[in-house]
Amino acid sequence: MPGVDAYLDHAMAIPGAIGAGIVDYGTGTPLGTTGGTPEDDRALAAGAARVMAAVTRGGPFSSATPDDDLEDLIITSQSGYHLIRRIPTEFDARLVLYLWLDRERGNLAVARRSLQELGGHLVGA
Amino acid sequence: MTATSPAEPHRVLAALADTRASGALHIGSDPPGVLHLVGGAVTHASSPLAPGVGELLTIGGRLSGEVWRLAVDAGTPEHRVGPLLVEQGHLTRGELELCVLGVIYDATYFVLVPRAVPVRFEPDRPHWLGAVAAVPVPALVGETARRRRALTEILDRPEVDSTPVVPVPRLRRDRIRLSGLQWELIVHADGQRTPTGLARRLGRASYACLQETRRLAAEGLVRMPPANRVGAGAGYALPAAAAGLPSAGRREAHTVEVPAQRGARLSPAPGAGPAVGRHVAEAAPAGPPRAEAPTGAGPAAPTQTGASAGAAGPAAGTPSADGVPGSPRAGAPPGGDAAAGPGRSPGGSGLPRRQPAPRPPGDAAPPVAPPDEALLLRLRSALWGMA
Repeated sequence: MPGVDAYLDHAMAIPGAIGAGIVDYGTGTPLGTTGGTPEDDRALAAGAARVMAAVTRGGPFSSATPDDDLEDLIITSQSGYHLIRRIPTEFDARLVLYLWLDRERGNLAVARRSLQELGGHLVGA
Repeated sequence: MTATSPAEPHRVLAALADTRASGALHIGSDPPGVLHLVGGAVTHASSPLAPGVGELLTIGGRLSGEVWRLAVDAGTPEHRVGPLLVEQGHLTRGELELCVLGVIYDATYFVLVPRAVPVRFEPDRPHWLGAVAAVPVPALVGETARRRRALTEILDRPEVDSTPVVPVPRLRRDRIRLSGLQWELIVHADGQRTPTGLARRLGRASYACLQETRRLAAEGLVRMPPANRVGAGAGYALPAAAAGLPSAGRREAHTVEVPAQRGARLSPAPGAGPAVGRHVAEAAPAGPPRAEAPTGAGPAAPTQTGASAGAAGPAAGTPSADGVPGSPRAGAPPGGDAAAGPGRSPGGSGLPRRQPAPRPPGDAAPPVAPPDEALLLRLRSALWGMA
């Protein structure tokens, strides 16, 4: 049952991880970051919030069927992957985990599976 | 205990961070807020305008009220309610930390007001929850300022934050799109609660409710308060009374307000004709100074004033309160018209003609005077006292 720091350390142990953070995407607030971020942690949080808003407020993709809901977003650049994964909580919080993955060293499928397991440990799901 | 004359709270906070102080910083009195520091970082924040850790965890359904109360009783003397919940397996460490972090940012928004207020520091006063998370002061101050700007970018109308949320009764659109939180705000809006009052009732972060309410106002889905209301500049600092309403007082508040809304929504629908419909729509933006604009829609008026004035208007309000769409009274003449024109027959076609006739003498309602705000407030406190 790790706390936030331990959780981020685990995320950084995923092969190819460059940086990780937890962001409140409802408000765009960084709640914890570690390793590298594309700019700084505030820019990271603001960017994650905007991307999440674009997907959840605007488009039809996040809930294509009635019981559907958004799980993660993957942004692929030429040098890396940016994973934004929702952390479901049973209290009011709109949280995502951000993971920056090196494209050469990282494996997207492995990273997603690891994050899924980690998220369960973090909030007891 | 160190007393300070009025000061801008963020300056005092920065000074405390520089000296790595530990203790409680009491800020302002209307409403009062507290920041707890350990080693110069903020470990807890509380404001009557934002739900606390206990409210978030219990209203959200994560913990039962009993578990929370037992933990508070057992953990308060040693200031370790939070760690106790983790040790006993009720919460994971991560959940507790994330919840507390959220509360720190949320409450601080309301505590760190951008003006000089009375500030008092109480050294070595730990919080009963325990220090489970810490936010460095520069990050907290910067984030609070950013949040303030972000609200302005959505809609530069601070008075929306401190005014009861009133959904507009009629839309000139076929389709709208709401976020989950916007839906909750609309559904629970009772014409009395401000965005922060709704946040505490729903167990939702208060700042998030401010954001969503401003978005709703910007989209014309909730009523826009008049721009130059008293204290508009103070914004979030105003609604101490409204926000603090305990849920016990809710039902009474409902009966005062809801019939007016329902009546307004109802009356145009079953054939009262376009005249009434237009009346409602126009009353909304232009209407009387306060939030109760739908009162202007005629039939609903007696309900409002009758209820507010206590027993003065005997039973004037009741009929339309029953006239909810789909109620057993569906066959009766439409909604509030029953109250407004008791002598009129519904007519064979079921389409009573709307006449701008003078009200029957028995109907004591004054011609849509602006609601007496002081009276409404007194009435609410009285009802509150009864609950």
